[in-house]
Amino acid sequence: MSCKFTDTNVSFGTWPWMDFSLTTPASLVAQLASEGIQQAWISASESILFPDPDIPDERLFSAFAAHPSVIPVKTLNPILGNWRESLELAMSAWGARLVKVYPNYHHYSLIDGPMAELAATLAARRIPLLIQMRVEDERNQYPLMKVPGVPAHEVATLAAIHPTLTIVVLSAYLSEIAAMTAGHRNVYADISFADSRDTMRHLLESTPADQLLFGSHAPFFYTRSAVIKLAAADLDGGVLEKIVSANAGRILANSTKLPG
Amino acid sequence: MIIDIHTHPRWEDDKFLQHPSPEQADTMLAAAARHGIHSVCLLGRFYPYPDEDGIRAINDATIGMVRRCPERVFGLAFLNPALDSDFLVGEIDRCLGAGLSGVKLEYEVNARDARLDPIMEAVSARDAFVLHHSWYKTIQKVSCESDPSDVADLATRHPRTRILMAHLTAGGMRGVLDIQKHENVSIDTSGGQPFSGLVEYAVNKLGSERVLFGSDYPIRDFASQLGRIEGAKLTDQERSRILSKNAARMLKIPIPSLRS
Repeated sequence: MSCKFTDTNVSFGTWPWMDFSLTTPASLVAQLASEGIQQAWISASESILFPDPDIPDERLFSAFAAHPSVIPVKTLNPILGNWRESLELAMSAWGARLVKVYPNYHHYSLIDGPMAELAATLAARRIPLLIQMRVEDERNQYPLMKVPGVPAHEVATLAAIHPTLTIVVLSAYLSEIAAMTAGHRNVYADISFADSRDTMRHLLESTPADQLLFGSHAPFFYTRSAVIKLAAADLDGGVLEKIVSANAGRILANSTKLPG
Repeated sequence: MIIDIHTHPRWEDDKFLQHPSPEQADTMLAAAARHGIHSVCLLGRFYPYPDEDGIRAINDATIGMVRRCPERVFGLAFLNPALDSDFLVGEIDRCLGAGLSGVKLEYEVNARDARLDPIMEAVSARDAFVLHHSWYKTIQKVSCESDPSDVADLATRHPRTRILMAHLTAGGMRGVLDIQKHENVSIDTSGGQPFSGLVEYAVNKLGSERVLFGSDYPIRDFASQLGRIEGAKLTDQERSRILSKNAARMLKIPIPSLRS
């Protein structure tokens, strides 16, 4: 398959329980390119656990500034007192176009509390919200750090409350994707964690191709697994193009473009 | 040529078929062939804690599928070690005589339990092998479910019995270290999400001769599972061993020529 993918689910940095081999921006970009990835949405893995995401995020945006194929993603934690200033800094000074949240690791609900204002702000400014549902298999987590996945019903509720907010859910299970996208055309999902026999056929039975995105969850996962999922699915060319890159391109095109 | 050492008969309506027909082999092979997989090894077990009648029915179904296409479909006898040992040894003889290649044990009895000993001795005497489930779980652990340290205990008690421990990702690095010194234990790559680095780690610690490709289809997609082998940093020789040669040796079938 000679597709040019947009990978919506890539991380850069370190993770305490894994030994990522791609430790430089150049090596990560080269590896992605070798798999046919022409554009990658990359967030900082350290921003999940580090108390102030701005610090690893600033390094992320700086490190990938010379790589036009990369769209760095700003991690926001709305329970922090400075999230509004953090958002402004990222948008105005760093040129951020996408915001990611980790409600399970940062320990808040999507449907009340501080998330309400953040969601309204992003909707008003046409900034897509990426929600990382999980980064690990909950069954294999470190015994003293059990972090459940983000509840899918909260995503569906958030999508209903903010129908103009573009929501991208990453690393959701197949059944969760169906539950979150049904009736919510503003919700998109990547394919990284969807895994069953004939994954793509099952996904497309429950979710329109317009709402599916290519995502590998690299470097947590081998990029090749997501590539083969699509390559082996024998999809119609139009459907394939939507998932491979067109939907992601539409999300970015419809988002606010602020000066970098 | 690729041999998948860890598959199950197809599900229908999200349930294991209790009595899959021999024709299910055709369906399995067709799905596998779309991913370049030539042969599959079926692990019969369609529901937990089967009694003697259930064991016979399960194994009859597996035998039927193997006989349907003996050049490409292999199978293991499923046993519940809680049952009478004379019955279990008799069932091993019946199944191996009918063309099956070894024994599959799941979580009915923990691997440390002495009730496994007659099975292990019988398998060793017949130069077959045991494929044993294992998982380090922090949630959803089933009573009596074995982890890799339990399998290591089994290997210590039965150093001459060939053991294939299932689920590389589920045991993780700790699981690999548990079995490292037990030369009679190999590991399959089946199941779980395709977390990166583990295939290379297992090859480094165990040698590529002790790592076998498995998918856990249809619980998992052939695509995601093959992706972890195709995406791992391996030499052609290592990849060839993992994808086919080691399985051929385990199943005692002619070793395929080196994949180019």
